[in-house]
Amino acid sequence: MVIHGSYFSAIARRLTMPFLSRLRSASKASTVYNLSSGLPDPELFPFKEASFVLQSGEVLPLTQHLIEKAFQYSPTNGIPELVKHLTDFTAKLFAPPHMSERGLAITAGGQAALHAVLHTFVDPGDCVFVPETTYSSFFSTLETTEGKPVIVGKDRYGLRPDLLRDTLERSSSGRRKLLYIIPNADNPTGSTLTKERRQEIYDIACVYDLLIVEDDPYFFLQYGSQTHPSFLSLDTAGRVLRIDSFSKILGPGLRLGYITADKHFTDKICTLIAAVTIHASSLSQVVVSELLDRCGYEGFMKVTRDISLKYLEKRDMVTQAASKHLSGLCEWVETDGMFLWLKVLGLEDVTEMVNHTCRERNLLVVPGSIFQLDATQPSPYIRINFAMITPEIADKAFQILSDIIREELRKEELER
Amino acid sequence: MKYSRFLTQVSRNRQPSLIREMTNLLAQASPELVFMAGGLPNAQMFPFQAGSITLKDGRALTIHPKLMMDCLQYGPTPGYPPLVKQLKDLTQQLHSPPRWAEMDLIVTAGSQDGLCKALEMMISPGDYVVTQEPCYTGTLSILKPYKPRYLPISGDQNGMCPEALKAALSKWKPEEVQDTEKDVPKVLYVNPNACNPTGVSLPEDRRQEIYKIASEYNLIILEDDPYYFVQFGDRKDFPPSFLSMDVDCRVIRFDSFSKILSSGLRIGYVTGPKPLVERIVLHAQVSLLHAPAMSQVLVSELLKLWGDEGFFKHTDAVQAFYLDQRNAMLEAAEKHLSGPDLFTVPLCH
Repeated sequence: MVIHGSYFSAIARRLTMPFLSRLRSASKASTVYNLSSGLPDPELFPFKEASFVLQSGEVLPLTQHLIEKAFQYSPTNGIPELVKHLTDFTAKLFAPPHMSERGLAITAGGQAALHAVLHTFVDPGDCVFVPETTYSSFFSTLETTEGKPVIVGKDRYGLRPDLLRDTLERSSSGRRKLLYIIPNADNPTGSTLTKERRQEIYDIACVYDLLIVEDDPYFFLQYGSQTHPSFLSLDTAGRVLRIDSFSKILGPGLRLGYITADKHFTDKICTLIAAVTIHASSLSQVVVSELLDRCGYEGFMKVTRDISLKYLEKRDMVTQAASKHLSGLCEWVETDGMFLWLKVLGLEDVTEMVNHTCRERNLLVVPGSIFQLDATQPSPYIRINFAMITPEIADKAFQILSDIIREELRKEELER
Repeated sequence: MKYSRFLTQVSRNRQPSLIREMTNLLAQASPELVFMAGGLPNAQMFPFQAGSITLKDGRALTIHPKLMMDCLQYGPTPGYPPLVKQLKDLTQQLHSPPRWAEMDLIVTAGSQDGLCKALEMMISPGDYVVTQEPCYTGTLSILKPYKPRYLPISGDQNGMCPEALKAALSKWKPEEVQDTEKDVPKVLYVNPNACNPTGVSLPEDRRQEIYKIASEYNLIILEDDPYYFVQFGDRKDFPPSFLSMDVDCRVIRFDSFSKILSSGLRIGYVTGPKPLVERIVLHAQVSLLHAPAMSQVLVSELLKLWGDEGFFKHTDAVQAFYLDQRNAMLEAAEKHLSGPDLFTVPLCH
């Protein structure tokens, strides 16, 4: 097992849980003479009751007692009922080794979780291993820790374990601290790591004493017949920090996500949360907790399966439209998630084309260059988000894109 | 004012997140736009369709399906646009900042979030921080890892003493430190009303003096004011905020709904000079994305339903409640804790 304290950044080491946050968590309902923390009187909050109508037509009521909980300060790591639901879910879904020694911290979304994790563990100069293309905001989030990103090569199936080993061997200065990875429906490529690769990567992390930050917001958007084990499922040594998010399935506006890791790690992360946002929105937590209560584990899995099938329809729509308009112009692979990762053939760099020509013709897509550490480097890739398309939109979009690519190729031809 | 003087290197290095900027474009998009950028999921697939919140006065806020999408989908980092407009109007109405056109506003996940970002924007390890003494522990928690050099300024039953502030700063000559970046105090933190933990409030003349001193020494004033609406007395007699006297454009003001609407929603807002609020927005882009949207929509709809009259009627009721509480507490304190100079009567909260 890892020696937890040895991984914390200098800033994290100096942080302790604020006195009043500890007090709030420790206060029991039976405490009659509580004149301590700065809790305002919920009698004065104007909200009385609420109810939410679900897509199924069912009604989810929030009684006065729940309303008070939803609109009052809550414990730093999350409302106990929601923490319990999510701990149980995680145990059922992933069967992590030594689950009883793990903690779960609810955050204001996956981004807040990522920000908190990086600031808890990364010191200036620490090496953070990252796939060569990844979530575009990762690099700017990491930058503020002054940690050093070290790029690891990928192929169409995701991060290459052999290249990770080589990169680790070659990395000379700075402590090798952590590996960041999106194992399922990768952003931007959509690829999902095989079970074998996950085990290899985990074993390499153990040899080189890396922590693994498993960022998994697209977990439920896997379209194969089986979902793959989380790195958490393999985590015998306690080096995985798993980030889950409700953003893609319940709604990113709720700003709700959670981190699962060894308790020593989540306790320290909570000291950061306490200083910054105090806690994630109580209202969001209560609403989601009630939903999970209503559905139960099986019901929630059904909800996510239904959502996944709808995204699969969209994926098939977009690949059909791509086949119709972009065959011979682009290459792509059918993947999981909500993104289509197109490679434009015959052009070294499409950044200008996407940022200017596409935009002028009212087509907003993302140039592949922004998913690289150095966004000024050329990239022939385009990321398409197909979550909201209809057959008509996909048809129109790829017609426009096809015209633009052909014009660009003609231009290059003339310039030669 | 030259704001770069106040920024840490980390803050200066922040660049806009392209994905966030693209999502902002969607808010103003024409119907012709084919949007396949950003990581927006399909809002029609979220399980929540609509909702309704009953208020204690019997009225209800209806969250129809379109509004529910606003609650559940990604939004712009500065805040849910209708709420940003309402809060800007409220700020202008209450404080009439003299250089309003040069200021901006961001909705944050509670005012703690805004305060944290403002402090991290300006404090590097070992920097000076001028604070009231005693000080809100939440602020001290944020600052702890940076091991700042505190200049604690003592106060009395009227809050921070300007003389004590002058004395603490007297080791520097104002004309020598105006533009200096290192090893000089640049930030002053203050709760002007119902100071946490002492409960005392700064009268107008002290605020003017403190502002003048801050101006001489070129300090940014962090006006942390979560108890603004629970000051006792008539609203028209409230002493002016630091924001309302901010002729230099050096005040960053933190407002909160935690004491009057809800603490659990995590909604607060920061008002300040555009170049500084912009740095906070860039920080929020990588640390939060935006304040919880459902919370923002609820507050916006509530303010819309109430209008100014309803809002101030509510804050008056909150004020009256806490005044009763204070009086009850004082009675008990008189009875059991009497003795010379054992406690001060708080003017708020």
